[in-house]
Amino acid sequence: MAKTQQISVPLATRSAGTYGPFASGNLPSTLVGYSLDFTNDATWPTDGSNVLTITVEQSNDAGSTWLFDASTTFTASPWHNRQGTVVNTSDWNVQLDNHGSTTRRVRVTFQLLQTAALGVTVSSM
Amino acid sequence: MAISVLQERATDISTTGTTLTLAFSSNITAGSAIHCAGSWGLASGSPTCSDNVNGSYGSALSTFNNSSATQSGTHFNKNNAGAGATTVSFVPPSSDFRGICIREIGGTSGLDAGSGKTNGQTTPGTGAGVIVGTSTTPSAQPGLLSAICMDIKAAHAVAAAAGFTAGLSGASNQWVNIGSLATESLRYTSTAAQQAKFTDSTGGSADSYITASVLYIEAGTVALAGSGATITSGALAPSLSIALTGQGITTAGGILVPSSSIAVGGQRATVTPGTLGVALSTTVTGQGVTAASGSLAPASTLALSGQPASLTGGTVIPAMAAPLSGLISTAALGILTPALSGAIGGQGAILTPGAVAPNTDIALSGQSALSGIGTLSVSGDVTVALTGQMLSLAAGTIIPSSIDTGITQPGPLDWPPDRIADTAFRRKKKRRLREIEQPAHPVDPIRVGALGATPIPPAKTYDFRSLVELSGKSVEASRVEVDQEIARLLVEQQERDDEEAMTLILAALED
Repeated sequence: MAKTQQISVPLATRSAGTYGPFASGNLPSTLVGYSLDFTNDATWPTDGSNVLTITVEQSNDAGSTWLFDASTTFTASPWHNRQGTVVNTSDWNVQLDNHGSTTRRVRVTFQLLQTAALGVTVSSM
Repeated sequence: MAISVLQERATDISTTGTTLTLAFSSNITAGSAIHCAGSWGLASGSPTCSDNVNGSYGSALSTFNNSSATQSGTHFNKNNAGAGATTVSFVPPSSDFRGICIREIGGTSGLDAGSGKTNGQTTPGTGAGVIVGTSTTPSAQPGLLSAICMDIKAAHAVAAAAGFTAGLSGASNQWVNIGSLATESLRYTSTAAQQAKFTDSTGGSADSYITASVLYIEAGTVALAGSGATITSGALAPSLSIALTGQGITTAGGILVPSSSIAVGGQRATVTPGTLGVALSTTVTGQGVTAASGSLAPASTLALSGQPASLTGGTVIPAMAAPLSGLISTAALGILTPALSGAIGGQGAILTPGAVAPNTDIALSGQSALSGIGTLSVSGDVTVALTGQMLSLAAGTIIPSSIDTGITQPGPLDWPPDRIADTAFRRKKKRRLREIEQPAHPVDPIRVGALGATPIPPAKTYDFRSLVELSGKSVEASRVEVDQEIARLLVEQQERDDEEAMTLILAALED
């Protein structure tokens, strides 16, 4: 399904700390999920330690209340595509129930555990 | 509620990392099971799974490592989940291409033990239903097959085969980084083997797959056959066709009430402060049948034949035709009341401070039948045999209620009537009468008193001949000295012309 960009955080080198939350507007009623496309650069750490925790929350009432939806951790290791080639982009897809709702939103929070260059685009699908 | 998949979700990510956490869209219903599958971009490792409500899911049900695709798949289960907003965390070793799929299974009593399998296939083809899980035979029915198919190579549209209820599929953007994902379920109503089947009509001849499948038992169709079946508080009330065959069947505080056709055959059946109420046609044959405080009340046609049958404080009431033949039948506090036609034949039948009250036709034939403090009250309706090696009452009362219990002590007053007609006896009577007529020596009044009356010193003489004549007999006799009581008895018997009683009194004087 085609992606529709909702949030964009440009690639930049950021020190350890919490960034966000970055919230979307109301998502399409035909929503079946959302996608986060990440970008890094050659400075991405590779020592195996934890670099980042990213958390997604969703709202069903146009942002009045928020509920945890999904999270994951990134470790300090090069990113690869399915063929094993090192790349600077990565993708996270999360399925959502299609409620037909017109007041659904998502917001994203990053917690960088060490300095790293990172950018992210959040899209609905 | 029929067993079914209530809700499910999935997500995957290509970036290298560890923990991947996903929330259920709606609150989990108490008692549901959670089926969680995960994948990661290595051909090794032992992931874990947990959630914020129920904690760890324990060991994986099964895992498949695909070395050629450098991708693995596994799955976990959580029975009897708590209610509430639940987020499930899958934690593989640090790797890329991580995915998680979570399903809530409602209306289930839990996993069919040993049914969690994974099956790996490479290029199975594009035919319908050729991507399969491991064929697994249910232990009970009805139940539900829950299956998750992971295409670990490419993003092709995998779909449930015909006859299955489709869940997530590639059309909903599942696991597009790892490859693809589809789920399905099937409620079955027989114990025939079950097998998940999927179709990938596009990539089936090029891709690799891992299919994780597991069987869940529908609530109300419970097999409790583990090494321990325990209820700590509440009620365990399976309604029908249940086999409780675990090593230990324990209810710490509650009720274990199988209602019909139940075999409770574990090594131990124990109820601590509640009730074990086995209703009908039940065999309780464990090594230990124990009720610490409460009631063990099988209603009819029961065999309690475990090694010890013990009740610490409460009541054991087999109502009808119940043999209690364990090694020991013990009631420490309470009542052991076999009501009818019960044989208590254990090595020891012991009641410490209570009552053993069999009503009819009871055989207490154990090595010892003992009532420590209390009453062993055989009410004497009919035919009670106490034949044990020891019949002991430490402090209390043994009350046979009828003279016909067979407890006899021969004496001068219980000669049977037929001896009156005995010829030799009549000759003995005549000889004694002659001795009275011509006494060799006076009768000792003290010895007369030893018959049972109060010894009375001689106070008066009577004309025995005149007394005898009052009876119409022709007997010559001299005066003899008898005490007043004997004389009175003789007069009374003569007045009543009671030859039998008079003969007994006189014969007693021989002593």
